[in-house]
Parts: sequence; structure tokens; C-alpha cells
Amino acid sequence: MARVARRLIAIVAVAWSVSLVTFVVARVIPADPAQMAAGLEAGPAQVQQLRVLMGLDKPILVQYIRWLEGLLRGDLGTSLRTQRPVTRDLADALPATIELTIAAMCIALATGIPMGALAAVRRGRFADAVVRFVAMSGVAFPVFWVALIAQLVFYRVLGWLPAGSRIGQDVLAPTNITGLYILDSILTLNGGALISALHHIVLPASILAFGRWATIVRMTRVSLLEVLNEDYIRTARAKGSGQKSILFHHALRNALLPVITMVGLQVGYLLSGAVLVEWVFSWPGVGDYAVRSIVTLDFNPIVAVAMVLSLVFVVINSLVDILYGILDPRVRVQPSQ
Amino acid sequence: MIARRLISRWAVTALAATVALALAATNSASAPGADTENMTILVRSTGQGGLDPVVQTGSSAQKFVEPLYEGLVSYDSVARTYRPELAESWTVSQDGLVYTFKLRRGVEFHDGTRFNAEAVSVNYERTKAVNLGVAYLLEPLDRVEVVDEYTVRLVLKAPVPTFLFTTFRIKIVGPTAIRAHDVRGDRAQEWLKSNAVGTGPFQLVKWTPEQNEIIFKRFPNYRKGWKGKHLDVITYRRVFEPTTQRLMLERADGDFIIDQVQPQDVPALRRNRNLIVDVWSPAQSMFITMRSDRGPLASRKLRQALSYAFPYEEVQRALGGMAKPLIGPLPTALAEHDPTLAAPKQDLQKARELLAEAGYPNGGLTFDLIAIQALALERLPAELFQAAAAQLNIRINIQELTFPVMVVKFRNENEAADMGFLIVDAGGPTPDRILFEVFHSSSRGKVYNWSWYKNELLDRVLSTATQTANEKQRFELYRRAQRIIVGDAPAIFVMETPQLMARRTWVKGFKPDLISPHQLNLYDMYIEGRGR
Repeated sequence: MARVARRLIAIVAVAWSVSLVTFVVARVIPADPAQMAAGLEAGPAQVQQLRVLMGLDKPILVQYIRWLEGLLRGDLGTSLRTQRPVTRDLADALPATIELTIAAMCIALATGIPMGALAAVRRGRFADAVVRFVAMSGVAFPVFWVALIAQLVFYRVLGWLPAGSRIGQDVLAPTNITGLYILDSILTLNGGALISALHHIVLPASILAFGRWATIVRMTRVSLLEVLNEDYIRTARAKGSGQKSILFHHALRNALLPVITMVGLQVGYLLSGAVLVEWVFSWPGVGDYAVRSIVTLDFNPIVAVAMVLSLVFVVINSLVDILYGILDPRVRVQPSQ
Repeated sequence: MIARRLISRWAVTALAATVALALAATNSASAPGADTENMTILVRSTGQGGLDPVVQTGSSAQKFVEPLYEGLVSYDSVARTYRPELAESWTVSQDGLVYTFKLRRGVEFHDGTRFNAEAVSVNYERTKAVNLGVAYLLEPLDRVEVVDEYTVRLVLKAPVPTFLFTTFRIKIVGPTAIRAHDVRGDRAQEWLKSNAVGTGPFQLVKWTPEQNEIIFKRFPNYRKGWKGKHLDVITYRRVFEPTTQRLMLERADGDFIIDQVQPQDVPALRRNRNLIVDVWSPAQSMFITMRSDRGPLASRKLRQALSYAFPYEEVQRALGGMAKPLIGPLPTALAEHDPTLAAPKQDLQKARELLAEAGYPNGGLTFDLIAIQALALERLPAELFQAAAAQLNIRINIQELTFPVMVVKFRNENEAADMGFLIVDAGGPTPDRILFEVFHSSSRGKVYNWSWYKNELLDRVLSTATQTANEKQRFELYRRAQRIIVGDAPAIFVMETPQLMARRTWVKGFKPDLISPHQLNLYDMYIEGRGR
């Protein structure tokens, strides 16, 4: 319980620190958001009127306190670019990023763990070399470049997959329940939307997964190799346990513990990688929203996105910590006990 | 052994499932639209902050406003003349103060209400009250008088020879909608962000810029009618990455790229016989501004030396001849351009002589040159200029910044860099923005006078020109102003910034606009031969 409380305090502290740093950094950038909002043609009087309206004429501390007051009311300010409340923009964009990240994580885990296990079981053989080579490529190549090449191959040359967007132009988006198109399509039994959403997510999610795949593969491989050499595995073999039982009941369960810890961190990396993938694939998520806000120096969304993403990162890591404790009872034992 | 087999099977199954998922999804690939009157336009931005024609003045937003709304007149940038739109005729009083417009009858707004003089009055009053965007254009306007239901009079405080262009820029929104959606005196600003009631040829179907899509359909009761070939539906799809835009055009998932195509892609696009690349020079000048108020660049000789050092021909060649040389500060698309000026040429010998006269016979100078981040059209000339200047022992440090940061930097006297790339479009069929806002001393510390240039004679000539009603005299004053600027060299005249668009060959009827290059003549455009 104390562990959870400590985690909650840490989450609030991180969110506050990130908001403070991003707020200050965004405000000290030498740019004039009032001029950009009013238009370059606007005269000084128009710009000043807007500056007062936006509260930019006040000292930075006053601006921050006002922003914090708004935050407590659930108001993250208004975007200069979209002219809408940032919370509304985020509510539109966040499900797209969550869906993409979950899909990428599923792909990375569904392929990474078996490939890592395969490499471990066939250590030093051809399959091991191939898996490790592909895994290293995922780390070595920049995600932006891989995304463009994948688009060229799978969209332009082969014509198998679309170049971007969440759903086909000729398909109506499913009724909004969660904002996750795949889930909403299933919940509303909308087969056309489901297939189109899957069709559109395969390429960006795979590209996003590719960058993180290497870590999962390598971690699974190393961890499984270590476990397979443990005494208790030898004992199990000596007692006549079957290979299937040894692998699934003894080796893999223990080998996956470090992998699960790492998944939390990977989600964070996936969220940051999503910025570039969303850009290339015109995926209307938080990354795409962040980039457009940065380019136009739209302060409120920049601060809000930084805070939300860091919150997601911290929350997921905390959940993983708790999950780790459940999987490995040793973690739950306090030193004093 | 069994474990290995099991793992292998698991791995193969997982991979096969992923591939199967991809292939299953492949079968659902959407078929291209069978309706040949739909056009998909690929855009990098879906505009900012909505569709209100008063607020939206930037080129990225204007392209969405133009098909929905009309002004009293329109401007034909090729014929260099105004044409009647919502006004069928107009007269201007002798003193240039009173503009009387006879309005067109039987014009309908998208909500079914009728257009009349009251609509004009309401919109001009609204523009002034909102006091954003195009409102600055109405500063010379004293009042609007409704003479009768189809006659309206605009009375100015002082004559403005180019006032007709204002009546093109002020678009008319349905007054019933403005009143119905006024919330706490906002004059329907909030509502008009995502709704539109104009008299334009197209009406709004879907406005979801954050979801990458904006859809217009033809307005059946449009005053010009729909005889002949026209488009039914226009879909704007936001695709931010230019490479992806290009792939989509090549695969016919888009019909038209109306943002700047990357110059390096043009040769490949031209080789594709299914595509047309439209290259033209709208009224846009690209300068390298030079701080003329202090430091070594305060020396006119030094600025002239750098102007001679600039590799004009090399830049033209590197861009495959797509850009026209900028001869003087004004582009040729403007009637006031002085054709007697000589095209600038690189002459390193002359540059060395001027450098010596300026007191720097051995060079030894270093300047910062700021360009817009990741803009190939600026990066290329910047690097070629850097190499040319090195031959004079002058070092150019290139830095890249975003445009909003550049604006603030150059507006500040203490922070403005030695040199900066500046692309300025005329914004209308007059040279005022380029000449006045870039070179008039009153524009120092504002948006565009990045040279911090001041010449009292030029100030007087420009101020007189803007108030001279006689066209011949006005033109002569503008030409004199151009000669003064060329002599003083407060900027290097890099090129007329080319506009590069690409479309499928089946998109017909497109006419490039010299003043507003992002504005498409959508009413005249049609699709012919798709799918053959």
C-alpha cells in the first residue's frame, strides 16, 4: 500500500515538474504567439489586443499560476492553431496514439518474444544470426527512414497497404465509444470499418514496433539462455520433466520477468517514436498534434502534450512495477521483513 | 529437441499470423472513386482555427475559404483587371472617396437566404468589429451606406487607389447566419470556425481538420449555374510529409498537390507521363536582407559587393531553370515592375573592387545568414552563396530557424542578424507590401524590414505613390522607388520564388494565379479521362 502511495506521489511530482519546465521553456522561446495568431498583416493595436486577451502581457509567474488554476479545473487552455480547447484536441488525438502504440506493442511482443526464444534455443546457429541481424537493423536504422522506405515498398510498389490515415476515405469511422477504431468497430459489429482500420494500422504499427523489436528479442534471448542454464532447470530435466513443461512452466515464465519490466519503458519509447511515425503516416494522434503545435509555436498544446505523455510514461512504469511484484514475490518483500 | 520444435512452431505461427493479418487487410484496399467528378487535393496543412473569412488571411487557410465565399469583385491576376462578382458594376467618384456598387440580383446564400445591400453592410461592419485578420484593410473606410436593396456605397476617409482589392478580400457571409449564431456579441466568430454560409460555388460538407479531411460539394443554386464540366465534390486530405504526398499522387490516391512540391522531386515527376508539374512565378520575391543600419553592412559598397558575389546563374541552374531571376525588388507579375532594370549577375571581380573600396580589400569578414528551417528553396541558394563568398574571404554562417522565431528576431533591433532569407508575396495586385513593408523606414521593427533600411528619399517617393490616383504617375513613382532600392542594395535579389504544383493529367481547367498561388479556380476545373 505504501508502495502504491509512494508511486502516486512520484506521479504527481513528475507531472508538475514537466509542466513547469515545459511551460517556462515554451514561454522563453523568442517568438510572438500573439502576432502569429493575429496574422502577420495585423497591426500593432490588433496584436496588443490579442496579447492582452491571451494573458501574454502578464509576467511569466502570473501566467503559470493562471495555467495551474486552469489545470485544476481541467482546462489546459486554448490552442492558437486550432482555436479549440486543448483538452478537446487531446481527447480527439489521444485515442489514435493509444491505438497505434497498443498495436505496435502487440506486434513487437507477438513477434519479438518467439523470435528471441527461437534465437536462444538455436544459439549460434543460422536462425540465431538472422534474428539478431534483423533485430539490430531495427535499432540501427532511423524510424523516419524506415517509414519512408516501407511506404515506398508496401504502398507505392506492391500496393498492399495504404500510405496513411486511420481509415479509408470511402469508409465511415465507427461510432465513437472509446475512440479506438479497432475496438469501436468490434463493439459496434462494423466489419467494414474493422477491416479498413486494421488495413491502415498495419504499416505504421509495424514500423513503430520494428524500432523496439530488437530490445525485446535480445532481452528474451539473453534471459532465456540464462534461465536454461540454471540448476533448477537441470534438476527438472533430471526428474524427467518434458521439454514442453520445462520451457513453458519453468524457463519462459522466469525469463519473461525482465522482459515485462522492460515493456513499460518500451511504451515510453513507442510514444516518442510515434511522433515521427504519425508525421509520415498522417496519423492524427498526439505526436502529430505535438509536431504541428511546435512548428507554429502553439504554447498550450506543447505544455499539455509534454505533461500527458510523461504522465502516461510514469503511470505505465508504475503499473509494471506493481505487476512485477505480483509475478515475482521476492520484489514484494521489504528489506526490514 | 522438442522445445526447439515447439519454439520454432510458435515463432513461425506468430510471423504467419502477422503476415496473414496484413494480407487480409490488403484485400480491403479501397477502390478508387468511380465518380469522375470528385477531386482529392493533397495539402500539408488543413489551415488554422477555422473558416471565418475575416480571421483567416494566411495562404494555408485562404484556400479553404475561397471556394465558399465571394467578395463584391474578383481580381484576374493574368489580365490584371477586376471583374464583377457579387457586384455587377461599380463607379468611383472623381475624388476617389466614394465607391458605389450595383449588386447582383437573385444571388442565394448556402442557407437559402438572399444576398442584398444589407448583407454587404452587415459584413463590413462585422469585419471592423472583429478587428482581426483582414480588418486592417478597412482602416481607410469611413462608412457603408445602403442606398437601396441592391445598391451600396462605401465612403473612404482618404482616397486609396487600390481600394477595389479590399472589396475582393472582404468576403460576404450570410447575415441571417451571423445573427442566428451570435453568442455574447461574438458576431458568430465561434460558429464560423467550423461552419460556412457564403455564396461561393462550393458548400461545406465536412470540416474535420484534425482528422485530416475537409470536404466540399457543389452548391446547386450557385449563381453561375453548373452547365458544362465541373467538379461535384472536393476532398482535401492532409498529408504532412512531402514524400508521402508524392507517392500518393503517383498512385492516384490524390489528384493534386497544391503545396510546394520539393524542387528535387520535379524532374522525376515530370518523367511520369500521368502527371503534370505546374511551375510558375507568382508575385513573390525572395531576398537576402542585409543589416544596413549598423556594422560593416552599413557600408553600401560592401552590400553591393555581396550582391555581385551572389551566384545568380548557378542558383538558376541548380533549380533546373524553374525560378526566374528577380530583377529589382518587384516580381514581374506586378504591373509596377520596372522592365528597364538590368538582371543581377555574379561578377566576382567587380565584387573585389567594391570590397576594396569599402575598406576590406582582403575580405576577412564573417556574417550570420538565417534561413527557414528545412526549406530546400532557401538552403540551396544559401549554400551556393556561402561558397561564392568564401572566394572573397568572407565567411557566411548559415543558421536555420522556424519562421515565427525569425520574425521576432529580425523585428528586434538588437537581435536582428546580419542577413536573412525573406520571401514576401505581394498579397494583392499592388507593390505596397513588398516596397513599403520591406523597405520603408516606418516598417523597421515591424514584420518585414529585416534590413533595418532607411532612405528618406525612398520614404517620400513611396508615401506619395500610395496616395497618387493617376496610374501613370503612380507607376513612375514606384519605378523610381525600385531604382533607389537597387542602388542602395539593402538586400540581394535572389529570385522570383517559383510555385511548384503537381497534378494528375486528368485534372483539367486549372489556371495558375499570379497573386494568390494557393487559390484554385475550382469552379472552372473538371476531371476528364480518369481511369483510361
